[in-house]
Amino acid sequence: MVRKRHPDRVEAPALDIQVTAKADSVRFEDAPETDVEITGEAEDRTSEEQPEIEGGSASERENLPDEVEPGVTYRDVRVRWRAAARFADPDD
Amino acid sequence: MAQRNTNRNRNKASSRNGRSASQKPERYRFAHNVGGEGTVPEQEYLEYSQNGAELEEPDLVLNVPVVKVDSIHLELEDLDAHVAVKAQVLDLLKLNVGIDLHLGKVRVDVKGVEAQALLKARLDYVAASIDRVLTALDRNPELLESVGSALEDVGWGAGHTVAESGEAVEDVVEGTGSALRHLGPGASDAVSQVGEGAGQAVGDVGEGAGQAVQQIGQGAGQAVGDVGAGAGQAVGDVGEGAGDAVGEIDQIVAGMGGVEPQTVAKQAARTTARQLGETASEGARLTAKALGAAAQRKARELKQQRREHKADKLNATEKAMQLADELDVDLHEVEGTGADGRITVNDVRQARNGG
Repeated sequence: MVRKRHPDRVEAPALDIQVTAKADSVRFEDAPETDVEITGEAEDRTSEEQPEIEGGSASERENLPDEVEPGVTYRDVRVRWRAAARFADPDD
Repeated sequence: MAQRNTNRNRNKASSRNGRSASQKPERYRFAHNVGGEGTVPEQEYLEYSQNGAELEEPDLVLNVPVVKVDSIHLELEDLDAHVAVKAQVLDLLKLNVGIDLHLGKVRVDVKGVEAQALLKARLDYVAASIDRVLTALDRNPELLESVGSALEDVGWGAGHTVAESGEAVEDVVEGTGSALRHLGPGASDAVSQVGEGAGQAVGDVGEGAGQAVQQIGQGAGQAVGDVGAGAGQAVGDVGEGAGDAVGEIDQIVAGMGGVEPQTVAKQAARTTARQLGETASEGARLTAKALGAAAQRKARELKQQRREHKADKLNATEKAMQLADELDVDLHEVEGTGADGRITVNDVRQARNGG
């Protein structure tokens, strides 16, 4: 069970991937198929309180829509993408 | 960290004048030779790098500072990337968190690309968890091993009858008894009355509870009763601790009317294991304390016996012996003036003064 949380709100993430990109122009021939998932398990048999996993991914885009259209050229594109996840106590 | 790539990708990098990117220093600004404020992506990279600067430094940092490509046609199909942090200690601790990225089919033309990537990993939570588990194992290796196995049985037994869950609980108690037996010969003497205390206390569990819980009492009484023989001051407290543990079980059972029986058994198992674990640790500590005090008393008695024997042999009084030690007087050189020529305190003082 993973608690979804915006990556910028994941405190001290155990895993943190950040990518920034800039391009003068971008043109997709097909609509891209992408998927990002936070996975994992946490079990501690020496404790009554079991750790949980929380995290998520998000992107900030300039001049690039969330769903791109094939064949359209997008110019002066900037993208920030981040995914972060951590182990969390139940009361966090 | 693991990364796998199952894609069938094909990319073509080209430039207008036929030179590769690395052959164009006048156009490409690499991180190691960039002056001034840097490119926008470089500045963003610095911002990202500084994000969370108030937090603890990551244990692992992988970065691709700047990648620049003049023009690229990229085709990807079914690219899977998996990055994860994993840790496991026996069957006691399992920590696994990962980020899975899937790109289905991508065909894209990009020009004037500048990109950076940064991966950080922090292992403080994992390290703290492992440290805590290993510390617990170090202190009670057999106990924790038994608890792990027995709790697994409880989990497996969920959905089965109360009697079966009760057996799992009994395993916990038996494991505890085994751990107590391994406390050591000295401990076994001191812990001798655990069986009495626990057995009596656990016997009360049967009242107001089902047959499965009665088996807890039998299991506890039998397992702990085998601990050892003898008596000790410290053990009274151990017996009380075990009684408290079982008392909690009684309360749990009494307060869980209408709850699934396996839930009762599972909770009882946890309580029993935790409390008896604490009881065992406390018993060992009290035992060590009691043994230390007993050793000190024995040492004092032996010293006194040696002193009395020496006093008799030298025909001196006890106080004369002590004073001779303090004044560094050799009693063999002292002539006694007491009854039957016994050396007295005055004799020692006179000998010290040259009399």
